[in-house]
Amino acid sequence: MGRRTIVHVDMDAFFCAVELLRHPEYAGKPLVVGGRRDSTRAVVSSCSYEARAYGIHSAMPIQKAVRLCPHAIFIPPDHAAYVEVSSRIHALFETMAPVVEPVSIDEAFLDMSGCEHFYDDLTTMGAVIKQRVYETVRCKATVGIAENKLLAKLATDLSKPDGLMVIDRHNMDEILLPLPVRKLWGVGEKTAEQLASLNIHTVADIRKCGPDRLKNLLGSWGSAIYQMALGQDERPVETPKPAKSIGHEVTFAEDIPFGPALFDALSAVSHQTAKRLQKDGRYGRTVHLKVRFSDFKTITRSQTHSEGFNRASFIYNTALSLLKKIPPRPVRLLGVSVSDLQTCRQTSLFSTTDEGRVDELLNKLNSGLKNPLITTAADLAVKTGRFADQVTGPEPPHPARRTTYPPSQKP
Amino acid sequence: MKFKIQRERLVQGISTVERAVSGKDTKDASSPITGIFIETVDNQLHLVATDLEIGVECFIPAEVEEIGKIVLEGRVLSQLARKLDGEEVRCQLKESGIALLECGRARFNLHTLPAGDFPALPDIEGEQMWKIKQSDLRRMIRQTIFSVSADDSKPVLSGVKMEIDGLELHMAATDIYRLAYRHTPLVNEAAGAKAAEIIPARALQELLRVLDNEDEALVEFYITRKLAMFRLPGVKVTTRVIDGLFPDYRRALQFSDSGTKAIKVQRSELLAAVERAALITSRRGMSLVKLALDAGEKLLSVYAQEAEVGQVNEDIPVQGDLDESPEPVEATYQTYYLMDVLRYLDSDEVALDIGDGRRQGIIRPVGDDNYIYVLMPVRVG
Repeated sequence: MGRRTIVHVDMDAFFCAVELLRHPEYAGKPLVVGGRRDSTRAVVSSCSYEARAYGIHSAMPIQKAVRLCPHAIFIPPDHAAYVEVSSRIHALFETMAPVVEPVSIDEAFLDMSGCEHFYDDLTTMGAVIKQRVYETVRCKATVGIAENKLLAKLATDLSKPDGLMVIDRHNMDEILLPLPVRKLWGVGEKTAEQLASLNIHTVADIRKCGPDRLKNLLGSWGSAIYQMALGQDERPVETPKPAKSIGHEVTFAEDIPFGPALFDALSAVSHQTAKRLQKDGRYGRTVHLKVRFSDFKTITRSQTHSEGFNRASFIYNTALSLLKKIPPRPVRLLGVSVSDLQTCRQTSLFSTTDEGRVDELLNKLNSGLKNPLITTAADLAVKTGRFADQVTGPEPPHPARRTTYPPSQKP
Repeated sequence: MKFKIQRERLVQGISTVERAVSGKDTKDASSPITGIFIETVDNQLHLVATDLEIGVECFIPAEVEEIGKIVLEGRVLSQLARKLDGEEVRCQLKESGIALLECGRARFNLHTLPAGDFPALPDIEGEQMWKIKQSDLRRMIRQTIFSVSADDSKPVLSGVKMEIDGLELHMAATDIYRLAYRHTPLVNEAAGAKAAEIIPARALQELLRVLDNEDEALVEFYITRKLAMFRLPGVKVTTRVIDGLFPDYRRALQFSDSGTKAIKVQRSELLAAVERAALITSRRGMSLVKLALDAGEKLLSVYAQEAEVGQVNEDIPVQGDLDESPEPVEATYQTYYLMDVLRYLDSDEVALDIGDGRRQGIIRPVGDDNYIYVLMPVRVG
């Protein structure tokens, strides 16, 4: 791979920054986005640097944050507003970089290889990006530039907030070597402990240790860590490819006998699948059912329709008819997914309900919500397992041992 | 049975009926419906083929020396008749059940299928037949049949609805996403008799092959609850009707006549532009084209894009009383829903209402009020 120029852009305390645009009066004060101060279950989504000074950080329960800083301002998140600002930032990146890979709502990689000559040097490039972001959305960003994703992200980590850092061959070792191992991508507490057992605490220690011992200790992950310690990372910046299928599956804490309780669970996974389809604005044409029996034998069944669909009731009914054709044995895992995805749908001359208009209305009502609040009665019946309830009466749902979705993206 | 016939006439007769031969390679290889039935009738050959769904029969002049009937394997007969080299074909049934077929220097000895078991085509007797010009029926079929559904799971949509209200014949075909409709006056009014049945597209396709384009020739037909029969000079097409409920197509034709929104555009220009657009989008998934009307500039933009191929735009001049304060109108359609209709219309100009991306679009031939084509848009995103 030739020499690349990779830029990592990370918005500073993004949710807070967006809130500050609407509430300038919060400026300079500890601000916590996540939930109201009396919220018992919410966690911190984002907090201002003033709040961080009190030890507040994201994912912390709101109540703990209240104890740490009682006079902080606590507000619930307004996801729609953040998405809107984020999409404007993304649109800006698209005009500046040939390849843009959004990492999350407030973070992206830009592959600027070949664009270097537009700027005096890489520091100027970074400064221009920071400035354009600020001009576009009035929020501050930290920019890291290096020849790969690992180092670019490291550069933003080390220079936040409102920072700009270029890591190149001249300063790489100076920056990298003294870093604690935890700063490397994917090195968590557990790996850090294992490394500490070899008396490895810093990146320099990893270099000294050499690849072979690391590989003995951690297998291929050890080799990967050694590569990172050398500052090497070949991963390309990639435009996200749309998923080929969307689905949901659930593994039961106890095997479920074939019967109403299983249909109940099927309605729940159908509903999750439909929710994701609708969120992505897509329609599928094929429903896949995956069933793993108690003896781990796994079977899949599918049915293709001539028309696109995105409704939970439709997915449930198709999956149910497939389920009823398989041997009635206790089930350990149940999954539903939808493929042949399209972003468009041929409308019909003869639909009795104007599904298109219903979709449009639902999209409008639910726009920006993480969990759509409004749905059709038929889909609600699927969500609440009403079909099965009619047979079994209200029974507590079986606890899920683990859920993953989409199944195809499971590592 | 023994006859002589001009080779060309035999080929013509066979090609008229051959597509009705049962295509199923039946388990019973000796089933006579895999063959073409040939019977001598008054210096004519009567050729019949059927798959029990549709039946086609025709009469061709021949020199009959001995009366009789035989059934010859359909595919073999139609292929060899075309390959024969000579003016005259001589055919004779020998006592052993072998037919001797001679033409030029070639002598075929062909096994025959049991002629006695060949099913008699049902006949509709005693009813007064409706009459319509062949050229009219031909146009009606051509301009509707392409809209039937290709989806095998919906048999009622694999046919064309034919309705006779006593005065006129109405034909409608739909796959539920688009609808083609034409009505034409009957030549006789047949005492006000009425009918409304779904005729298999396949039968109409066969009929189309034999209908004359000449203006004055007539076709007689009759439709019952079970059967439809079309009779032309020398040819008869019989078919079962499709049982089931056809969509209420008249509902799809009930829209406020948004005449002001219809623009006039050269049919061949629009067709060519959509065909070009289809070139880059005809990949997996739907092939889509976006029509956008700029009323101010009097231009219709035909736009298509495909992520990994590219995009194309073409602006076509349009005419018509365009709104003074035009909202930009655009709608996305499947390319072949547009190409199909534009290919089969005859008029130079079409009146096009592109809809608004939600409601239906409408296409009519300019100067011909008897035809209407309605198509639904594709919702994108």
